[in-house]
Amino acid sequence: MNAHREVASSPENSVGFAANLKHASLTDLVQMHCLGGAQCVARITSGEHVGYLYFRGGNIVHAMSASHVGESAALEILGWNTGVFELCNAGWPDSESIQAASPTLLLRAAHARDESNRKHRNLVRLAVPRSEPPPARAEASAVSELTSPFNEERAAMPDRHDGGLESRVTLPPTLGPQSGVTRVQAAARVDAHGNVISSRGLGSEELAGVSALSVRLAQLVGESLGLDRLLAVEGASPSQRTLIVLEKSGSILGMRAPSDADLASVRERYGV
Amino acid sequence: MQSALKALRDIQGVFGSFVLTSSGELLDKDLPAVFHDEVFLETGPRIMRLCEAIEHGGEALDSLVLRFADHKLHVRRSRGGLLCVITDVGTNVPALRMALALVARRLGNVLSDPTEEAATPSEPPPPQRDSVPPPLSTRADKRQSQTYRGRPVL
Repeated sequence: MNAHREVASSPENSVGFAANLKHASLTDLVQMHCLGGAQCVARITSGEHVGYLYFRGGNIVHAMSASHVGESAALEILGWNTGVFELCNAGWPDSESIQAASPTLLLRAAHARDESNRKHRNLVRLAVPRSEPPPARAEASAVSELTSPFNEERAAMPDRHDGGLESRVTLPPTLGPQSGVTRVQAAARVDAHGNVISSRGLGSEELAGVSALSVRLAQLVGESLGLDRLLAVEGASPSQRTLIVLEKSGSILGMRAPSDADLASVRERYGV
Repeated sequence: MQSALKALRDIQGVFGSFVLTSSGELLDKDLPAVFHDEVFLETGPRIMRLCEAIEHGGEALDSLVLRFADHKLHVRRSRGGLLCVITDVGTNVPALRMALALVARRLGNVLSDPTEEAATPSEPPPPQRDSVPPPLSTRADKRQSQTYRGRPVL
């Protein structure tokens, strides 16, 4: 996001500095203007989209986009990832349309953006044909969702990412307090060619190999017994459960959890 | 053992079952005739390897479920072997789990002490109508068996 302050038509009357920033996030720029507390209007341009944010007293008090006015416009504008942020001389509205404080608005925007990204990931996952490898970012993120106990908090935090494929975090044996999904000890995803797409948790590298071999053996068992299309393999021991899911894309997702963990939501998600 | 396996069919959705030894050999089965014994020459060891693979890096398995599109293969570990049951996807899982536990316990007793199976009342074997008569003894056998006053008679 580029940002620059428009220099007034009479430079000798202006005070302060002009700035030209690159790679700043819109959230940072908005927070910066809120801290200043000044009354001003910012024009945000992102591709063909143009929107206006009205600042007064450290808050965004009004917003306009091509299709929305008020908070919905602010959320739309704050959802844009790239563009230009510049102050302008747009006229002040007769009535201010936003009552929420700026931090609240920014959190809502972050949450809306996260939800949008999640829906997009799901659409991408559904659209991937069987023969093609799945998108690595989305797959790694799915494993991250299974092993991270902080999903809800992360959804509300702006501009936090789980680091993608390069970020392989060793997690403690038991995560999170109560939720079954958050107590997954290890998870690993292997693509149809046997490449480890992502892995998290103790012993997850080993789990990747175990999952790949188990699926192959289970498919052979199924073929010889006339049982078609393997969906999943689930093993239970006194203190541990292992769930291995064969996804439509051909990828294999393996996870280990304590025996009392509830994997129902995972089964539901993958239709097993 | 047959009666124990047949009892599993009381659970709705159970197609049949079979028992593998700890080395993966087929011990007994209660399955439709389409499942020949030859099928299990490779399948049995594969199921054992599958269990070993999942146990790798973890604990010994109590049970294993292979979920297919229309069927499930439930594997339950018992003393000295594996009890495997093929069901449809709509089987009452808690009922099946309970039945598996009971049958596995009974099988465990049989597998660990084969005389128990012989001691349990079972149906008499069917008469062998078309069975091949026992082979006639060979000439050498006759030589060894024919004696007179303690001496072999040629």
